[in-house]
Amino acid sequence: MAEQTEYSKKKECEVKALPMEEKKRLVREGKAHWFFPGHIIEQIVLCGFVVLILITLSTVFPAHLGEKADPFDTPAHIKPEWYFLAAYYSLRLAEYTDFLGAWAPKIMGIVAQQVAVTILILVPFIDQNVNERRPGKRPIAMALGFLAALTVIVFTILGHLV
Amino acid sequence: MTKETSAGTPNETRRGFFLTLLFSFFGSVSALGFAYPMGMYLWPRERVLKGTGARTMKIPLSDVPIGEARFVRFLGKPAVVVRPNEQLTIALSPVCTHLGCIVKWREKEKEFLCPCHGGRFDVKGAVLGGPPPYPLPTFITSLEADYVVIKEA
Amino acid sequence: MDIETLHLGPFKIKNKIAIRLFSALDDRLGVKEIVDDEVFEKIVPAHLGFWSCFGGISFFLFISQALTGMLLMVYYQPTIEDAHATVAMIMNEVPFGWLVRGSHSWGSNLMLVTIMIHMVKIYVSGIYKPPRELNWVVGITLLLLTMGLSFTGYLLPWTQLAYWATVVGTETPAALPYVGEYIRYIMRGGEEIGQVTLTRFFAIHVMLLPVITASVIGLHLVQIRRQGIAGPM
Repeated sequence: MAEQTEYSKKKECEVKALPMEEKKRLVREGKAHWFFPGHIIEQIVLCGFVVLILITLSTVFPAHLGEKADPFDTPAHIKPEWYFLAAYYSLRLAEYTDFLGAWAPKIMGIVAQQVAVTILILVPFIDQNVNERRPGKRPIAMALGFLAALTVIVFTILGHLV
Repeated sequence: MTKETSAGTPNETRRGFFLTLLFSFFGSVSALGFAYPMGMYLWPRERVLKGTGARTMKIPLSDVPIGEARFVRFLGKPAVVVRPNEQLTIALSPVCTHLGCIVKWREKEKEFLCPCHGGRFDVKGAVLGGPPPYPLPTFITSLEADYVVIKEA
Repeated sequence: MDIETLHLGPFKIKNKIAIRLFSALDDRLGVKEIVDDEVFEKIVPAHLGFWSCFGGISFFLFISQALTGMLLMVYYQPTIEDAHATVAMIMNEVPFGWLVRGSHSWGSNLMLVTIMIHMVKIYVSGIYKPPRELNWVVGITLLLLTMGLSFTGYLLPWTQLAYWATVVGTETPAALPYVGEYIRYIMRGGEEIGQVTLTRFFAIHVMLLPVITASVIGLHLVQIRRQGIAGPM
């Protein structure tokens, strides 16, 4: 067990410098795989699979090309692509802050988005539980993460429905 | 150096052979699979290359005064019509046979001069001097009332 | 190097010319060492499973986007008169144009999906923890860059939806105090969305963001190589 942690904590350059005998031992003990050919074939098959998915999607659901833009004609329902729907809905939600004043809705929406992105970026610095990685032993991080993901998913769905 | 370099068992040789076969088979199949659509996609389309419209072209004689040259686009490529004198109407390709520049008509000398490397052609396209290896290709011209009609030779 | 047989992993090369070419490269660049270290004598951790490959898939999709994007640029014209018509031409007239645009369009959606799955996996497995905090930051930057690429690319076909989505999208930051108006002005290249907007979205989409994204991906990968792949939990 001590051996395994040792290998898994090694930096790339340290692993590279291991003698051939040591590498063979790690592979024999099931702690590592050879990069060639097994891993590389895996990677190629994976890429091929992605290409197949792209070709299938393009064939079955051809990319859509809507009408040409007309700056004088606003369509009835403008909606962003799915990945912006959560942000779009958060702007909608911010309209309820109008009790703070007429300035609030627009600013609160965008400020909330900025705060969310900032928190996302700072996750590793907020989470002070530095040594535990197993999800089962990090209930708070898991709960918060689940809540955040749920919010994004619910906002996306609501953004699609409004 | 602890690196292994001598691997001579028949087993390993067979493995190397099998891998070579595997990689070259799938490599060439997927390379072809990508090259074909990409080539088809990038190949210039006919419409752009050959141009559209009639195979002949009518130009009013009033557009080509005696002694002057008129440059037109014919079948998607440049053409020039000259009338050195009353009796003669000539149409030829102004693309210099040396390196493809468009020749200029010199009214006084009654000859074509290529501005790129100084190739000179007479009014019928024959090389007078300079580097061009061949004469300028000509088109067939005929007169119809007040028009000059040009068509491919 | 004057040898009879060249051993490269399981391959044995006996061809004289191939050996001489390889030796010439090896003398100048030390190719044999690189090939051995990075390919034939390299080991990877055994615990990597299905959920570990989404970072790599996102990277592959980025390359695919770059390739299909270059192909689209061959026919696309970024003018408000011709943009829509050239995209229609790619879809309907150019052989395999439907496939190129389809792959590019679906690729952008898939790329966002795979990046999000990658992010969730990194979060759940706690891989962002020391010493890998900075790579999380770089990763989020890549997510934002990808969204920027999607946003700018969406306008290029100059369709109704794209136009009005851009109207709203560039209007949103205008709400920010002090700087908002200027951000909108810079994004649109003026007060209105028009040719100038299309031209700058085109420049940002095909040059600025791809170059930045490629560099940041480089940074992401360099960090992974320095720190090694995270071990099992």
